[in-house]
Amino acid sequence: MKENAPLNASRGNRFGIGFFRLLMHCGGFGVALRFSRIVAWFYARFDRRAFSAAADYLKLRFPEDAGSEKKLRRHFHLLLNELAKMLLVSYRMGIGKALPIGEEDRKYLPETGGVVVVLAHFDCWQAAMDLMNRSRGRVINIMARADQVKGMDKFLALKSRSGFNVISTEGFSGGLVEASAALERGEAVIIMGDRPVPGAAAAEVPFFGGKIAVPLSPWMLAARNGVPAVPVFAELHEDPLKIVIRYCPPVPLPEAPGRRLRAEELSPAAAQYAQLLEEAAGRRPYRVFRFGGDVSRKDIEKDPCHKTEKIDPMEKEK
Amino acid sequence: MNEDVSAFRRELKENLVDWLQLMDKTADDVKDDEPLFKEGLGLDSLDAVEIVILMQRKYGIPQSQVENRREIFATFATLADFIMANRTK
Repeated sequence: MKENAPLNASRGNRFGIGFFRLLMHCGGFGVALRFSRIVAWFYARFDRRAFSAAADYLKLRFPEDAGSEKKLRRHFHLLLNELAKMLLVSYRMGIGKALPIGEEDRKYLPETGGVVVVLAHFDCWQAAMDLMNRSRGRVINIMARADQVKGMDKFLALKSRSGFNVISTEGFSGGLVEASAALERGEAVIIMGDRPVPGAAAAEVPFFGGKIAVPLSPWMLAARNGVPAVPVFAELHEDPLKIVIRYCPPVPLPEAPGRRLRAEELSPAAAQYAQLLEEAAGRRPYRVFRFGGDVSRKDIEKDPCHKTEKIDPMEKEK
Repeated sequence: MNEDVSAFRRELKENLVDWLQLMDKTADDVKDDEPLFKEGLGLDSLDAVEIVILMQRKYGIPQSQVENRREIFATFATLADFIMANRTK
């Protein structure tokens, strides 16, 4: 497997996933969860690349432990335990053993018209796909990259994929032209707002005293089409076990002028979203699944947000 | 190339430079057969959306008419030809 391949392309395989499914069917969720602790320990102990990818976030979140690999490893282990739990919950939902789902502040999601729903790789985020089942007739589009390990994909938590479209981020313009057209038609578009597709336009925004890169596309698409951008978080609560989908107030967007929207006009929206991520990570530090080297504790520049490397929309087509 | 096409291309080049805020470019720098992205004008994926919005606002072309049509964006000439053939204003 190439070193620059996505982490989820080289972690897990059909046998392992099949084994966990069998365990869940035969022994139930609790047995599968207990066994997942062993697997999480194995990865925490031996997967150097995954540790390295998670360490950037962990150093920001736990600055007091940033200098100790041993302590960071412990945080990594706890994070992997939570990741395994989320995957099991997601799979459980996908086979129809749905957990109770509550909604908080649904009022922020308009019932009709175009809307950008901004998700993050946080907590039980796959369960937020369930909101597609609550779309009340509106067409839902999700911008996503194909997962390379069959059975581990981001749609695990959905019993059926009917009723929504997938816009590939690997197509022309990273799928942004298609997403924009969908918004114009009054459809919903779900975008991951916490980490950019490699090479995509992004802003570096404050996060736990350091900075992280987040994509500009959710805010640009919403501003350009005059639709709200609503951050949504799906959280697993364990006593009793249930999912809570939390809708946040729409993030204020810049006026769309008769010229291109500049990165510095979009970056305040990205920064506000990063604040929401920081709050979420503050409450549940081991449920932030941000594996990547695009976080740092470098001094934040005077203009904390700037556009990163440009990408050629034509080249993204495979 | 007839005069109408030539005049339209000139107008579109000026609109593109103005809309996309290509500070270091003029309409004369936009070559007909040059790619819009990468080594050509160096535009990115957000610019692709901006071009679609420009087509909608200034030429009345709905976004749905250009989705899944990457060939339109290959060069300035392909873009200009498409807009000229489909504009409603």
